Order: sequence, then structure tokens, then C-alpha cells
Amino acid sequence: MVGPAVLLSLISSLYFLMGTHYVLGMDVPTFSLLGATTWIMFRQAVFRTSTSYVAARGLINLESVTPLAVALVQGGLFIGIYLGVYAVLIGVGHSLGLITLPVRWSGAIAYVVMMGGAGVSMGLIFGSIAIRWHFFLRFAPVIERGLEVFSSVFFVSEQLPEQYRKYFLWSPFAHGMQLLRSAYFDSYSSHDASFAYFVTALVFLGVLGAGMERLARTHVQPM
Amino acid sequence: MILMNGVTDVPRIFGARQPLLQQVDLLIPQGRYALLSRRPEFHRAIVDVIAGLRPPREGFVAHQGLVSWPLGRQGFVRGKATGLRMIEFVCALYGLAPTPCVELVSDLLTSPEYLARPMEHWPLYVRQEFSFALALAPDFDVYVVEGAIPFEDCRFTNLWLALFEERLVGRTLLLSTYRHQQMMDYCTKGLVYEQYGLRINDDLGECIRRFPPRRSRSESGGDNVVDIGVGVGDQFGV
Repeated sequence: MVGPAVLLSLISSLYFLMGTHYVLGMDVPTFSLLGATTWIMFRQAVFRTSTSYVAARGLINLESVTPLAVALVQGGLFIGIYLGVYAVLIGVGHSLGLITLPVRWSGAIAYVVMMGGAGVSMGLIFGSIAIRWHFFLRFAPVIERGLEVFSSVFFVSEQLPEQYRKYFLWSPFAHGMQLLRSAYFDSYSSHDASFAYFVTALVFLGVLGAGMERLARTHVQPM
Repeated sequence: MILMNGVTDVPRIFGARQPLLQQVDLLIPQGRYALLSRRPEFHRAIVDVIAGLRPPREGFVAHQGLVSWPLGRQGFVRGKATGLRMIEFVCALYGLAPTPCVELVSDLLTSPEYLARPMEHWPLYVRQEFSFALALAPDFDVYVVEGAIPFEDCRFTNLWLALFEERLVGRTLLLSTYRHQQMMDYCTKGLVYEQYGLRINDDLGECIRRFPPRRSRSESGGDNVVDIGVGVGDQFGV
């Protein structure tokens, strides 16, 4: 709860300092809330899933519990927790008159869950690498911070000049975040974000995660 | 019954990759086996593969019936969850009603008051007793024991052994221990690990003479430590 609140305050204050109260028709607090909360959920899903795959090996002494199940449950729990965080932040923010409500609830929730799913897949990939190379998880926050810049957390690609957009739109997470904002706001419809690209990348990440987990599975030793 | 089909495995043991099994084809029928080898450091990895806790690099291991967790390992008896929650979790996994299981474990434990507390605060003996006591709840077809069967003369040991011996009738036991007497008491055959393979030897006495049990480095902290009896704090020899 504190993490998203701090990040959304940071993003909002930067916009307010520049005298911007609306970004392409989206009010800045809600715009920031969507970027901050979704990204923090994503990073928590990545870190918790990868760490539980590598470290929570006590439960796999029980025959029917697999490392994949432990990691997926952990990732799923964090998606659920952040849906709750979303509900609280939007509810409290709306009651204070700071946050607007989504236009399409189902679409917004679906994109948040899809971003969470992408985080779980990334976590599985990171965890599978870390089983062979334990030091790899030290790089996870660095990789995540790098991705954050290219994932439409602080701005959307339509705010950038045409010639620079391609440097940001390679990231499927940028597409996901912009689609989320398109579903949330009536006044904003992303022209750059591609649903097909986002879903294809999501499926690719999921398949890659499952494949790498299969290869890493023989190296996961119960504690 | 346990079937190992074309099993090859190269796990990481003590930080180094070690060839463990090479093209092992073995059918382990119902019986009581003592795992014996010159490398007790490898027993844990072998138990993982046989119990189906870790798939081998090549081949597969198939079981007929339920296999217990390695009794004596306290791997899952840790963390912030309470003992009651863990009993409920295990009951959910094995399709059991939790209330009779809680009663069974409470009756067996020396200090059942710990069940309501987080497992991370439990003393070692409670963890060990819990791991053994909970294993009596599901109806396992294969019991895997790693370390030692409880032997200290106390209420828990007497109760547990009585129930365990009852449960063991008609089931399979795989015992990996350094305690010579327990092998003789509970096992009838040797499951010998030698030259990256496993074989069954019907003459347990001869097996023990050829492969005298000793503690693994992970348990003893040094090589070639012989079982010389119960030490201080060595309640179950784990």
C-alpha cells in the first residue's frame, strides 16, 4: 500500500511541478496511480515468484507439491493482494475527490491481471535461471528498473515525438500499460498500443517460463 | 512398488556436479530396504529421486500408491505457519479430515501446546516429533525414512513406534540411516548404491558388512564418522 502511494505521489508531483494536470485527457493522479500500482504489482510478482521458486524448497518435500506450484501460488497471491490495494487506493482516492473511476471495470481489471501474469512469467524465468546461477537474482532489480523506464509507467508513448516512440514500444509492458489506461479512461485511447503484440508477448513469456522451468526442475532440490 | 526406468541423474551435491545415477532400470517390489553405499553424502539425492521429489535428468520414476515425505527431514516444518495450519494443509493434500489428524498428532507429541504456535519458534525436538507424527496420518504405501527412526526411550518414541510398526505391515520401507541396529530391526534387504547404479541384495547382513553405515558429512561435519551411539542433543540421530 505504501509503495504504490509513494510512487504515485512522486509521479504526480513531477507532473504538478511542470504545471500539468491532465496527460492526454487523463487526470494526473489517476494516471500515476495506474502506472505506479500496476508496476509495483508487476515487480512484486517477479521478485516473489522467482524467490519462492529458488528458496521455498521446504514444501516440495511433500510429493504432490512442486516448485512450479509454489511459485505460481505465490505470484497469484500477490496479484490478488494488489487487486485489493487497487480497490483501497481507488476507493479512498475517489472519496477524497482525487481519483476518477474506471470507464470499463472489466477491461481495466483484465489488463491489471494480465500484467500480473506477465510478472509471474518473468519471475518463473528469473527463478529458473537463478536455480543454475544463484547470483542472477542480484540483477533482477536492475533489470526491473531498466524495464520500468520503457513500460509507460511515467508517461505514455503518445507524449513522445514520433521518431522516439519505437524506442519504447518494443516493450510489451508499455503496450499493456497503455491498453490498461485506454480501458480505464474515456478520454484516452492509445493509438500506439497493440493488443495483439501484448497478448503474443504474454503467451511467449508464459511458454518460455514453462519451458525454462521444465529444464530447471531437475536441479531444484528439496530442503 | 517403485519402478525406475532409464534413470540418469547428475545433481549438484556439496556444491559440485556429481554423476549420481546412470541408466538405472530397477523394480523395487514391496519390502523393507536399507539404503547402503560407500557415499552416504549421496543418499539424500538418491532419496529425492526415488521418492519422486525431484525428477531425474533422464528417465522416470513411477510409484504405485502414495509415498511419504522423507521422515526425519524437517524441510516443511518451518516458517510462520502454525502446526495446526500445516496439519490442515497436509490433510488437504491427502484428502483427509483435519480434526482426527490434529487429535492424532496432539496425542503423540510430547509438547502439543506448540501446535498453535508458529513453527519457526519450535525447538528441534518438536519439529522432529511433528514430522514423524504427521506421517502417521495419511495412509502411505511407501515410507521413506532419512536419518533415523526415533530411538530414545520416551513416551513419543514408544507411541510412535507402536503405530508405525502397525502401519508398516504390507507396506514398503526405504530406510537411509547410519544406525546399524535400526537397519537390522526394520529392514530385510539392502538397496545398494554402487557405481552409479542401484541394486537389491537379499542378504542384508552381508550388505552391511560390505557397506558399513556411517554418517554423511552433512550430518556429522567430518568424514568417516562412525555411529558410536547417542550424543548430546542427538535425540533422533538426525
